[in-house]
Amino acid sequence: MADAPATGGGFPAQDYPTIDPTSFDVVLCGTGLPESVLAAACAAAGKTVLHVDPNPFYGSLFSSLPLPSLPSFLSPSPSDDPAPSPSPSSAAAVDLRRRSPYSEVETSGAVPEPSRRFTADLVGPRLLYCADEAVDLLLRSGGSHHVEFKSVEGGTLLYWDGDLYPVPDSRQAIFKDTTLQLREKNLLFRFFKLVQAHIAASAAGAAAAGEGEASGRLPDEDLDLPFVEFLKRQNLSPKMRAVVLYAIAMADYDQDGVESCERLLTTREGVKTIALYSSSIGRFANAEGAFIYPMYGHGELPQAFCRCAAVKGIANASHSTSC
Amino acid sequence: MAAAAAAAGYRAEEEYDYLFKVVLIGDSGVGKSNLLSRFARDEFSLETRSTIGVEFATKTVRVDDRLVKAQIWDTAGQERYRAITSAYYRGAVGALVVYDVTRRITFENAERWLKELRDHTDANIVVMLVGNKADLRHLRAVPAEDARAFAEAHGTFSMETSALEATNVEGAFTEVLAQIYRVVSRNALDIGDDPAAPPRGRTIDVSAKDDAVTPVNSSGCCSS
Repeated sequence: MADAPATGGGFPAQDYPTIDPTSFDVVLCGTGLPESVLAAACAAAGKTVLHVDPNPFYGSLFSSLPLPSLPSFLSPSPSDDPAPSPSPSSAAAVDLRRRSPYSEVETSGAVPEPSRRFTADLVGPRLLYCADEAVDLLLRSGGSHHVEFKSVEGGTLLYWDGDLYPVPDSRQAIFKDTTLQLREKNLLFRFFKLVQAHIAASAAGAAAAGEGEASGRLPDEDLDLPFVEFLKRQNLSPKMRAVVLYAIAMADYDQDGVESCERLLTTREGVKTIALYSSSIGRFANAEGAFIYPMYGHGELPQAFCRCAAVKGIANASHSTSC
Repeated sequence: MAAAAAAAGYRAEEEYDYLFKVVLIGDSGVGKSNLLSRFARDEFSLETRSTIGVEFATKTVRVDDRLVKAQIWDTAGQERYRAITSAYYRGAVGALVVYDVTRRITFENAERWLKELRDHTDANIVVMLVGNKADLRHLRAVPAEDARAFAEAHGTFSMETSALEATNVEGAFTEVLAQIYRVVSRNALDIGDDPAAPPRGRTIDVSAKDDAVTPVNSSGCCSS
Protein backbone atom coordinates (compact mmCIF):
# COMPACT_ATOMS: atom_id res chain seq x y z
CA MET A 1 0.00 0.00 0.00
CA ALA A 2 1.16 3.55 -0.40
CA ASP A 3 0.92 6.00 2.52
CA ALA A 4 1.82 9.59 3.19
CA PRO A 5 4.93 10.21 5.27
CA ALA A 6 4.94 11.37 8.84
CA THR A 7 7.07 14.39 8.15
CA GLY A 8 8.22 14.25 4.61
CA GLY A 9 11.49 13.08 6.11
CA GLY A 10 13.52 15.68 4.23
CA PHE A 11 13.90 13.39 1.24
CA PRO A 12 13.87 15.10 -2.16
CA ALA A 13 11.05 14.17 -4.49
CA GLN A 14 13.36 12.75 -7.13
CA ASP A 15 14.49 10.09 -4.64
CA TYR A 16 11.08 8.46 -4.68
CA PRO A 17 11.03 5.14 -6.47
CA THR A 18 8.58 4.38 -9.24
CA ILE A 19 5.37 2.98 -7.85
CA ASP A 20 5.30 -0.72 -8.48
CA PRO A 21 3.00 -2.44 -9.47
CA THR A 22 1.47 -0.03 -11.95
CA SER A 23 -2.13 -1.17 -11.59
CA PHE A 24 -4.20 -1.48 -8.41
CA ASP A 25 -7.62 -2.72 -7.39
CA VAL A 26 -8.17 0.41 -5.31
CA VAL A 27 -6.65 3.90 -5.30
CA LEU A 28 -7.35 6.02 -2.23
CA CYS A 29 -6.55 9.74 -2.14
CA GLY A 30 -6.03 11.25 1.30
CA THR A 31 -5.11 9.64 4.61
CA GLY A 32 -8.02 10.89 6.69
CA LEU A 33 -9.77 8.49 9.03
CA PRO A 34 -12.35 7.18 6.50
CA GLU A 35 -9.71 6.62 3.80
CA SER A 36 -7.34 4.94 6.25
CA VAL A 37 -10.00 2.57 7.58
CA LEU A 38 -10.92 1.75 3.97
CA ALA A 39 -7.26 1.13 3.11
CA ALA A 40 -6.88 -1.29 6.02
CA ALA A 41 -10.14 -3.06 5.13
CA CYS A 42 -9.21 -3.41 1.45
CA ALA A 43 -5.74 -4.67 2.31
CA ALA A 44 -7.21 -7.18 4.76
CA ALA A 45 -9.53 -8.37 1.97
CA GLY A 46 -6.49 -9.04 -0.22
CA LYS A 47 -6.94 -6.11 -2.60
CA THR A 48 -3.98 -4.26 -4.06
CA VAL A 49 -4.19 -0.68 -2.84
CA LEU A 50 -2.41 2.54 -3.71
CA HIS A 51 -2.84 5.11 -0.95
CA VAL A 52 -1.70 8.65 -1.76
CA ASP A 53 -1.84 12.00 -0.01
CA PRO A 54 -0.71 15.46 -1.14
CA ASN A 55 0.33 16.37 2.42
CA PRO A 56 3.70 15.52 3.98
CA PHE A 57 1.94 14.06 7.03
CA TYR A 58 -0.74 11.50 7.80
CA GLY A 59 -4.36 12.22 8.58
CA SER A 60 -5.43 14.87 6.03
CA LEU A 61 -8.01 16.94 7.93
CA PHE A 62 -8.02 14.35 10.73
CA SER A 63 -4.46 15.21 11.76
CA SER A 64 -3.03 16.27 15.08
CA LEU A 65 -0.33 18.79 14.27
CA PRO A 66 2.47 20.11 16.47
CA LEU A 67 1.80 23.80 17.07
CA PRO A 68 4.81 25.00 15.02
CA SER A 69 3.37 23.19 11.97
CA LEU A 70 -0.10 24.66 12.32
CA PRO A 71 0.39 28.04 10.56
CA SER A 72 1.91 26.44 7.46
CA PHE A 73 -0.93 23.91 7.37
CA LEU A 74 -3.60 26.60 7.64
CA SER A 75 -1.99 28.79 4.98
CA PRO A 76 0.19 26.60 2.77
CA SER A 77 2.35 28.36 0.23
CA PRO A 78 1.20 27.78 -3.34
CA SER A 79 2.33 24.36 -4.47
CA ASP A 80 5.38 24.09 -6.67
CA ASP A 81 4.21 20.73 -7.94
CA PRO A 82 3.30 20.79 -11.61
CA ALA A 83 -0.27 20.06 -12.59
CA PRO A 84 -0.77 16.44 -13.58
CA SER A 85 0.10 15.81 -17.19
CA PRO A 86 -2.75 14.84 -19.50
CA SER A 87 -3.44 11.16 -19.09
CA PRO A 88 -4.19 8.60 -21.76
CA SER A 89 -7.88 8.22 -22.45
CA SER A 90 -8.00 4.92 -20.55
CA ALA A 91 -6.89 6.54 -17.27
CA ALA A 92 -8.21 9.23 -14.97
CA ALA A 93 -5.92 12.00 -13.74
CA VAL A 94 -6.07 12.94 -10.08
CA ASP A 95 -4.69 16.32 -9.08
CA LEU A 96 -2.86 15.80 -5.79
CA ARG A 97 -1.54 19.32 -5.32
CA ARG A 98 -2.03 20.69 -1.82
CA ARG A 99 -4.80 23.17 -1.29
CA SER A 100 -5.70 25.10 1.80
CA PRO A 101 -8.86 23.72 3.40
CA TYR A 102 -9.75 27.25 4.50
CA SER A 103 -10.56 30.24 2.33
CA GLU A 104 -9.06 32.82 4.66
CA VAL A 105 -6.83 32.38 7.70
CA GLU A 106 -5.33 35.00 9.96
CA THR A 107 -2.69 33.97 12.48
CA SER A 108 -1.19 36.18 15.15
CA GLY A 109 0.87 35.85 18.30
CA ALA A 110 3.83 33.66 19.13
CA VAL A 111 3.71 29.90 19.49
CA PRO A 112 4.05 28.96 23.19
CA GLU A 113 7.21 27.26 24.41
CA PRO A 114 7.93 24.37 24.51
CA SER A 115 5.54 24.22 21.58
CA ARG A 116 6.51 20.70 20.48
CA ARG A 117 4.72 19.42 23.57
CA PHE A 118 1.37 20.64 22.24
CA THR A 119 -0.63 19.31 19.33
CA ALA A 120 -3.77 20.68 17.76
CA ASP A 121 -6.48 18.25 16.68
CA LEU A 122 -7.98 19.44 13.41
CA VAL A 123 -11.22 17.59 14.09
CA GLY A 124 -12.98 16.58 17.25
CA PRO A 125 -14.17 15.39 19.58
CA ARG A 126 -11.09 13.67 20.94
CA LEU A 127 -13.01 11.56 23.47
CA LEU A 128 -14.06 8.00 22.74
CA TYR A 129 -16.36 5.78 24.76
CA CYS A 130 -14.41 2.74 26.01
CA ALA A 131 -16.99 0.51 24.29
CA ASP A 132 -17.08 2.60 21.11
CA GLU A 133 -17.17 0.83 17.75
CA ALA A 134 -13.96 2.67 16.84
CA VAL A 135 -12.19 0.99 19.76
CA ASP A 136 -13.59 -2.40 18.71
CA LEU A 137 -12.36 -1.77 15.17
CA LEU A 138 -8.88 -0.90 16.44
CA LEU A 139 -8.83 -4.14 18.43
CA ARG A 140 -10.04 -6.32 15.55
CA SER A 141 -7.66 -4.79 13.02
CA GLY A 142 -4.59 -4.81 15.27
CA GLY A 143 -4.44 -1.02 15.12
CA SER A 144 -4.57 -0.84 18.91
CA HIS A 145 -0.82 -1.59 18.92
CA HIS A 146 -0.26 1.89 17.53
CA VAL A 147 -2.44 4.10 19.69
CA GLU A 148 -1.90 4.94 23.34
CA PHE A 149 -4.99 5.97 25.23
CA LYS A 150 -5.49 7.77 28.49
CA SER A 151 -8.56 7.65 30.67
CA VAL A 152 -10.54 10.76 31.54
CA GLU A 153 -9.90 10.56 35.25
CA GLY A 154 -11.62 13.63 36.64
CA GLY A 155 -15.17 12.57 35.91
CA THR A 156 -17.66 14.69 33.97
CA LEU A 157 -18.80 18.14 35.01
CA LEU A 158 -22.07 19.82 34.09
CA TYR A 159 -22.42 23.61 34.06
CA TRP A 160 -25.71 24.27 35.83
CA ASP A 161 -27.08 27.48 37.32
CA GLY A 162 -23.70 29.19 37.24
CA ASP A 163 -21.85 26.31 38.90
CA LEU A 164 -19.85 23.30 37.79
CA TYR A 165 -21.56 20.19 39.03
CA PRO A 166 -19.98 16.68 39.14
CA VAL A 167 -22.15 14.27 37.18
CA PRO A 168 -23.44 11.31 39.21
CA ASP A 169 -22.82 8.54 36.68
CA SER A 170 -23.17 5.45 38.89
CA ARG A 171 -25.33 4.15 41.74
CA GLN A 172 -22.56 4.99 44.18
CA ALA A 173 -22.19 8.53 42.83
CA ILE A 174 -25.95 9.14 42.97
CA PHE A 175 -26.08 7.80 46.51
CA LYS A 176 -23.21 10.07 47.65
CA ASP A 177 -24.46 13.20 45.88
CA THR A 178 -25.37 15.69 48.62
CA THR A 179 -26.96 18.16 46.18
CA LEU A 180 -29.76 15.72 45.30
CA GLN A 181 -32.88 15.33 47.39
CA LEU A 182 -33.97 11.83 48.32
CA ARG A 183 -36.92 12.00 45.91
CA GLU A 184 -34.59 13.01 43.05
CA LYS A 185 -32.27 10.13 43.87
CA ASN A 186 -35.15 7.65 43.86
CA LEU A 187 -36.44 8.93 40.52
CA LEU A 188 -32.96 8.75 39.00
CA PHE A 189 -32.43 5.21 40.35
CA ARG A 190 -35.80 4.20 38.94
CA PHE A 191 -34.99 5.74 35.55
CA PHE A 192 -31.65 3.95 35.26
CA LYS A 193 -33.24 0.68 36.40
CA LEU A 194 -35.88 1.06 33.68
CA VAL A 195 -33.24 1.73 31.03
CA GLN A 196 -31.03 -1.15 32.20
CA ALA A 197 -34.01 -3.52 32.06
CA HIS A 198 -34.72 -2.39 28.49
CA ILE A 199 -31.07 -2.85 27.50
CA ALA A 200 -30.94 -6.33 29.05
CA ALA A 201 -34.21 -7.36 27.40
CA SER A 202 -33.08 -6.05 24.01
CA ALA A 203 -29.79 -7.89 24.34
CA ALA A 204 -31.61 -11.10 25.18
CA GLY A 205 -33.79 -10.60 22.13
CA ALA A 206 -37.05 -10.55 24.13
CA ALA A 207 -38.90 -8.53 21.53
CA ALA A 208 -41.87 -10.81 20.98
CA ALA A 209 -45.10 -8.97 20.23
CA GLY A 210 -47.45 -8.71 23.18
CA GLU A 211 -44.75 -9.11 25.82
CA GLY A 212 -44.22 -5.34 25.89
CA GLU A 213 -43.19 -3.94 29.22
CA ALA A 214 -43.50 -7.29 30.93
CA SER A 215 -40.30 -8.30 29.16
CA GLY A 216 -38.54 -5.17 30.35
CA ARG A 217 -38.51 -3.57 26.91
CA LEU A 218 -39.79 -0.04 26.51
CA PRO A 219 -42.77 0.22 24.16
CA ASP A 220 -42.06 1.51 20.65
CA GLU A 221 -44.18 4.63 21.16
CA ASP A 222 -41.87 5.62 24.04
CA LEU A 223 -38.77 4.85 22.00
CA ASP A 224 -39.96 7.11 19.19
CA LEU A 225 -40.61 10.03 21.54
CA PRO A 226 -38.10 12.88 21.81
CA PHE A 227 -35.80 11.80 24.63
CA VAL A 228 -36.40 15.02 26.52
CA GLU A 229 -40.15 14.24 26.58
CA PHE A 230 -39.50 10.72 27.85
CA LEU A 231 -37.34 12.12 30.65
CA LYS A 232 -40.10 14.55 31.62
CA ARG A 233 -42.53 11.63 31.80
CA GLN A 234 -40.14 9.98 34.25
CA ASN A 235 -40.55 13.10 36.44
CA LEU A 236 -36.84 13.92 36.33
CA SER A 237 -36.00 17.46 37.42
CA PRO A 238 -34.51 19.89 34.84
CA LYS A 239 -31.06 19.41 36.37
CA MET A 240 -31.31 15.61 36.19
CA ARG A 241 -32.61 15.82 32.63
CA ALA A 242 -29.56 17.90 31.74
CA VAL A 243 -27.29 15.29 33.35
CA VAL A 244 -28.83 12.48 31.30
CA LEU A 245 -29.11 14.44 28.04
CA TYR A 246 -25.75 16.18 27.89
CA ALA A 247 -23.35 14.39 30.24
CA ILE A 248 -24.38 10.80 29.56
CA ALA A 249 -26.30 10.71 26.25
CA MET A 250 -23.93 13.40 24.89
CA ALA A 251 -26.59 15.35 22.98
CA ASP A 252 -24.97 17.93 20.68
CA TYR A 253 -27.79 20.49 20.64
CA ASP A 254 -30.07 22.13 23.19
CA GLN A 255 -32.82 19.53 23.50
CA ASP A 256 -35.25 21.77 25.39
CA GLY A 257 -35.86 24.14 22.50
CA VAL A 258 -37.92 21.60 20.56
CA GLU A 259 -38.83 24.14 17.87
CA SER A 260 -35.32 25.43 17.26
CA CYS A 261 -33.33 22.26 17.94
CA GLU A 262 -31.35 21.14 14.88
CA ARG A 263 -31.07 17.55 16.05
CA LEU A 264 -33.66 16.24 18.47
CA LEU A 265 -32.57 13.02 20.15
CA THR A 266 -35.13 10.20 20.21
CA THR A 267 -35.54 7.97 23.25
CA ARG A 268 -34.25 5.07 21.13
CA GLU A 269 -31.00 6.96 20.46
CA GLY A 270 -30.74 8.21 24.02
CA VAL A 271 -31.16 4.74 25.49
CA LYS A 272 -28.62 3.36 23.02
CA THR A 273 -26.07 5.95 24.15
CA ILE A 274 -26.77 5.23 27.81
CA ALA A 275 -26.15 1.54 27.03
CA LEU A 276 -22.86 2.50 25.39
CA TYR A 277 -21.97 4.66 28.38
CA SER A 278 -22.73 1.95 30.94
CA SER A 279 -20.87 -0.75 28.98
CA SER A 280 -17.90 1.62 28.71
CA ILE A 281 -17.54 1.97 32.47
CA GLY A 282 -15.22 -0.77 33.67
CA ARG A 283 -14.44 -2.13 30.21
CA PHE A 284 -10.72 -1.58 30.70
CA ALA A 285 -9.02 -2.06 34.03
CA ASN A 286 -7.99 1.25 35.56
CA ALA A 287 -9.94 3.32 33.05
CA GLU A 288 -11.85 5.19 35.69
CA GLY A 289 -14.80 6.48 33.72
CA ALA A 290 -16.53 5.83 30.43
CA PHE A 291 -14.14 7.83 28.26
CA ILE A 292 -10.65 7.44 26.87
CA TYR A 293 -8.73 9.63 24.45
CA PRO A 294 -5.73 9.11 22.16
CA MET A 295 -2.83 10.51 24.15
CA TYR A 296 -1.18 12.19 21.18
CA GLY A 297 -4.36 13.36 19.48
CA HIS A 298 -6.94 12.05 17.06
CA GLY A 299 -4.33 12.03 14.31
CA GLU A 300 -3.07 8.74 15.76
CA LEU A 301 -6.19 6.89 14.61
CA PRO A 302 -5.67 7.25 10.83
CA GLN A 303 -1.98 6.43 11.31
CA ALA A 304 -2.88 3.23 13.14
CA PHE A 305 -5.09 2.06 10.28
CA CYS A 306 -2.48 3.06 7.68
CA ARG A 307 0.09 0.99 9.54
CA CYS A 308 -2.34 -1.98 9.61
CA ALA A 309 -2.80 -1.62 5.88
CA ALA A 310 0.96 -1.46 5.29
CA VAL A 311 1.54 -4.60 7.34
CA LYS A 312 -0.99 -6.35 5.13
CA GLY A 313 0.90 -5.12 2.09
CA ILE A 314 -0.42 -1.98 0.47
CA ALA A 315 1.66 0.64 -1.31
CA ASN A 316 2.11 3.94 0.56
CA ALA A 317 3.06 6.85 -1.66
CA SER A 318 3.99 10.28 -0.48
CA HIS A 319 2.87 13.81 -1.00
CA SER A 320 5.10 14.22 -4.02
CA THR A 321 3.38 11.48 -5.93
CA SER A 322 0.81 12.33 -8.54
CA CYS A 323 -1.33 9.74 -10.22
CA MET B 1 2.73 -32.96 35.85
CA ALA B 2 3.28 -32.12 32.19
CA ALA B 3 0.78 -29.30 32.48
CA ALA B 4 2.63 -27.87 35.47
CA ALA B 5 5.90 -28.03 33.57
CA ALA B 6 4.31 -26.33 30.58
CA ALA B 7 2.89 -23.62 32.82
CA ALA B 8 6.26 -23.10 34.44
CA GLY B 9 7.86 -22.90 31.01
CA TYR B 10 5.28 -20.36 29.91
CA ARG B 11 5.91 -18.24 33.00
CA ALA B 12 9.65 -18.36 32.48
CA GLU B 13 9.13 -17.28 28.87
CA GLU B 14 6.90 -14.37 29.86
CA GLU B 15 8.91 -13.02 32.78
CA TYR B 16 11.21 -10.09 32.16
CA ASP B 17 12.57 -7.13 34.06
CA TYR B 18 12.48 -4.56 31.27
CA LEU B 19 10.64 -4.14 27.99
CA PHE B 20 12.46 -2.02 25.41
CA LYS B 21 11.01 -0.91 22.10
CA VAL B 22 13.62 -0.78 19.34
CA VAL B 23 12.88 0.42 15.80
CA LEU B 24 14.57 -0.48 12.53
CA ILE B 25 14.91 2.29 9.94
CA GLY B 26 16.85 2.87 6.75
CA ASP B 27 16.37 2.76 3.00
CA SER B 28 14.37 0.10 1.24
CA GLY B 29 16.30 -3.09 0.51
CA VAL B 30 19.15 -2.63 3.00
CA GLY B 31 18.20 -5.80 4.90
CA LYS B 32 16.23 -4.55 7.90
CA SER B 33 13.76 -7.43 7.87
CA ASN B 34 16.49 -10.03 7.48
CA LEU B 35 18.39 -8.54 10.40
CA LEU B 36 15.22 -8.85 12.45
CA SER B 37 14.43 -12.41 11.35
CA ARG B 38 18.04 -13.48 11.89
CA PHE B 39 18.08 -12.06 15.41
CA ALA B 40 14.60 -13.13 16.50
CA ARG B 41 14.24 -16.50 14.72
CA ASP B 42 17.67 -17.22 13.22
CA GLU B 43 16.14 -17.14 9.74
CA PHE B 44 17.19 -15.48 6.50
CA SER B 45 15.28 -15.05 3.24
CA LEU B 46 16.81 -14.28 -0.15
CA GLU B 47 13.48 -12.93 -1.39
CA THR B 48 13.75 -9.22 -2.15
CA ARG B 49 10.13 -8.11 -1.95
CA SER B 50 9.01 -5.35 0.40
CA THR B 51 8.10 -6.44 3.93
CA ILE B 52 4.52 -7.58 4.45
CA GLY B 53 2.92 -9.11 7.51
CA VAL B 54 5.59 -8.22 10.06
CA GLU B 55 4.51 -5.87 12.84
CA PHE B 56 7.26 -6.53 15.36
CA ALA B 57 9.23 -9.43 16.80
CA THR B 58 10.25 -10.03 20.39
CA LYS B 59 13.21 -11.72 21.97
CA THR B 60 14.32 -11.86 25.59
CA VAL B 61 18.02 -11.50 26.34
CA ARG B 62 20.03 -11.30 29.55
CA VAL B 63 21.84 -8.05 30.31
CA ASP B 64 23.79 -7.73 33.57
CA ASP B 65 21.73 -10.45 35.26
CA ARG B 66 18.49 -8.80 34.18
CA LEU B 67 16.02 -10.18 31.66
CA VAL B 68 15.40 -7.65 28.93
CA LYS B 69 12.59 -8.22 26.47
CA ALA B 70 13.31 -6.52 23.16
CA GLN B 71 10.30 -5.55 21.08
CA ILE B 72 11.78 -4.84 17.66
CA TRP B 73 9.58 -3.06 15.14
CA ASP B 74 9.89 -3.37 11.38
CA THR B 75 8.78 -0.71 8.91
CA ALA B 76 6.27 -2.86 6.98
CA GLY B 77 7.72 -1.40 3.78
CA GLN B 78 6.56 2.13 4.58
CA GLU B 79 10.09 3.50 4.21
CA ARG B 80 9.96 2.85 0.46
CA TYR B 81 7.92 6.00 -0.08
CA ARG B 82 9.20 7.85 3.02
CA ALA B 83 5.85 7.09 4.64
CA ILE B 84 6.73 5.88 8.13
CA THR B 85 4.10 6.97 10.65
CA SER B 86 5.17 9.11 13.59
CA ALA B 87 3.46 6.54 15.82
CA TYR B 88 6.04 3.98 14.64
CA TYR B 89 8.73 5.87 16.56
CA ARG B 90 6.58 6.51 19.62
CA GLY B 91 8.09 5.12 22.81
CA ALA B 92 11.21 3.76 21.12
CA VAL B 93 14.28 3.74 23.35
CA GLY B 94 16.61 2.25 20.77
CA ALA B 95 17.03 2.32 17.00
CA LEU B 96 19.09 0.60 14.35
CA VAL B 97 19.74 2.87 11.37
CA VAL B 98 20.60 0.37 8.65
CA TYR B 99 22.45 0.97 5.38
CA ASP B 100 23.80 -1.36 2.72
CA VAL B 101 27.62 -1.35 2.50
CA THR B 102 27.35 -2.00 -1.26
CA ARG B 103 25.11 1.03 -1.96
CA ARG B 104 26.68 4.36 -1.05
CA ILE B 105 23.39 6.25 -1.36
CA THR B 106 21.86 4.22 1.48
CA PHE B 107 24.73 5.33 3.72
CA GLU B 108 24.29 8.97 2.68
CA ASN B 109 20.57 8.74 3.44
CA ALA B 110 21.37 7.55 6.98
CA GLU B 111 21.75 11.21 7.95
CA ARG B 112 18.16 11.89 6.90
CA TRP B 113 16.88 8.85 8.75
CA LEU B 114 18.77 10.00 11.81
CA LYS B 115 17.14 13.43 11.54
CA GLU B 116 13.69 11.86 11.28
CA LEU B 117 14.50 9.72 14.30
CA ARG B 118 15.64 12.74 16.33
CA ASP B 119 12.47 14.62 15.35
CA HIS B 120 10.24 11.88 16.73
CA THR B 121 12.02 10.38 19.72
CA ASP B 122 13.65 11.10 23.05
CA ALA B 123 16.98 12.90 22.84
CA ASN B 124 18.62 10.05 24.78
CA ILE B 125 17.54 7.27 22.42
CA VAL B 126 20.32 4.74 21.81
CA VAL B 127 21.20 4.60 18.11
CA MET B 128 23.30 2.01 16.31
CA LEU B 129 24.44 2.66 12.75
CA VAL B 130 24.46 -0.75 11.05
CA GLY B 131 26.24 -1.46 7.78
CA ASN B 132 24.58 -4.63 6.50
CA LYS B 133 25.58 -7.06 3.70
CA ALA B 134 29.20 -7.00 4.85
CA ASP B 135 29.61 -10.46 3.26
CA LEU B 136 29.59 -8.80 -0.20
CA ARG B 137 33.24 -7.75 0.14
CA HIS B 138 33.90 -7.38 -3.60
CA LEU B 139 30.97 -4.93 -3.95
CA ARG B 140 31.76 -2.73 -0.95
CA ALA B 141 31.05 0.97 -1.58
CA VAL B 142 31.23 2.29 2.00
CA PRO B 143 34.56 1.95 3.82
CA ALA B 144 34.24 0.99 7.49
CA GLU B 145 36.19 4.14 8.43
CA ASP B 146 33.50 6.36 6.85
CA ALA B 147 30.85 4.71 8.98
CA ARG B 148 32.96 5.05 12.12
CA ALA B 149 33.53 8.75 11.42
CA PHE B 150 29.81 9.29 10.78
CA ALA B 151 28.87 7.50 14.00
CA GLU B 152 31.38 9.52 15.99
CA ALA B 153 30.15 12.79 14.51
CA HIS B 154 26.52 11.96 15.31
CA GLY B 155 27.01 10.35 18.70
CA THR B 156 25.87 6.88 17.69
CA PHE B 157 27.35 3.41 17.92
CA SER B 158 28.31 1.59 14.73
CA MET B 159 28.77 -1.97 13.55
CA GLU B 160 28.91 -3.94 10.32
CA THR B 161 26.75 -7.03 9.96
CA SER B 162 25.81 -9.78 7.57
CA ALA B 163 22.31 -11.12 8.06
CA LEU B 164 23.08 -13.76 5.43
CA GLU B 165 26.15 -15.11 7.27
CA ALA B 166 24.75 -14.24 10.72
CA THR B 167 27.79 -12.09 11.46
CA ASN B 168 27.48 -9.51 14.27
CA VAL B 169 23.67 -9.54 14.10
CA GLU B 170 23.23 -10.76 17.66
CA GLY B 171 26.03 -8.42 18.70
CA ALA B 172 24.38 -5.34 17.18
CA PHE B 173 21.04 -5.93 18.90
CA THR B 174 22.47 -6.97 22.26
CA GLU B 175 24.82 -3.98 22.29
CA VAL B 176 21.86 -1.64 21.71
CA LEU B 177 19.89 -3.35 24.48
CA ALA B 178 22.86 -3.23 26.85
CA GLN B 179 23.35 0.48 26.19
CA ILE B 180 19.63 1.17 26.73
CA TYR B 181 19.81 -0.75 29.99
CA ARG B 182 22.75 1.38 31.11
CA VAL B 183 20.92 4.57 30.21
CA VAL B 184 17.79 3.44 32.05
CA SER B 185 19.84 2.34 35.03
CA ARG B 186 21.28 5.84 35.23
CA ASN B 187 17.77 7.27 34.84
CA ALA B 188 19.02 9.35 31.94
CA LEU B 189 15.89 8.88 29.83
CA ASP B 190 14.29 11.94 31.35
CA ILE B 191 10.71 12.21 30.16
CA GLY B 192 10.88 15.99 30.32
CA ASP B 193 13.24 16.22 27.36
CA ASP B 194 11.09 14.26 24.96
CA PRO B 195 9.18 16.50 22.56
CA ALA B 196 6.67 13.72 22.05
CA ALA B 197 6.63 12.48 25.64
CA PRO B 198 3.33 11.36 27.14
CA PRO B 199 1.89 13.20 30.10
CA ARG B 200 2.75 11.53 33.39
CA GLY B 201 0.16 9.03 34.55
CA ARG B 202 -1.19 5.75 33.34
CA THR B 203 -2.03 4.73 29.81
CA ILE B 204 -4.88 2.41 28.92
CA ASP B 205 -3.77 -0.55 26.84
CA VAL B 206 -6.94 -1.39 24.94
CA SER B 207 -5.43 -4.53 23.45
CA ALA B 208 -4.70 -6.28 26.76
CA LYS B 209 -7.24 -8.74 28.08
CA ASP B 210 -6.72 -8.43 31.81
CA ASP B 211 -5.15 -5.52 33.66
CA ALA B 212 -4.91 -3.16 30.74
CA VAL B 213 -2.73 -0.46 32.20
CA THR B 214 0.93 0.29 31.64
CA PRO B 215 2.50 2.53 34.27
CA VAL B 216 4.34 5.46 32.72
CA ASN B 217 7.27 5.56 35.10
CA SER B 218 9.87 8.25 35.52
CA SER B 219 12.00 6.82 32.74
CA GLY B 220 9.09 7.22 30.39
CA CYS B 221 9.71 4.07 28.47
CA CYS B 222 10.14 0.88 30.29
CA SER B 223 8.36 -1.43 32.66
CA SER B 224 10.58 -2.67 35.40
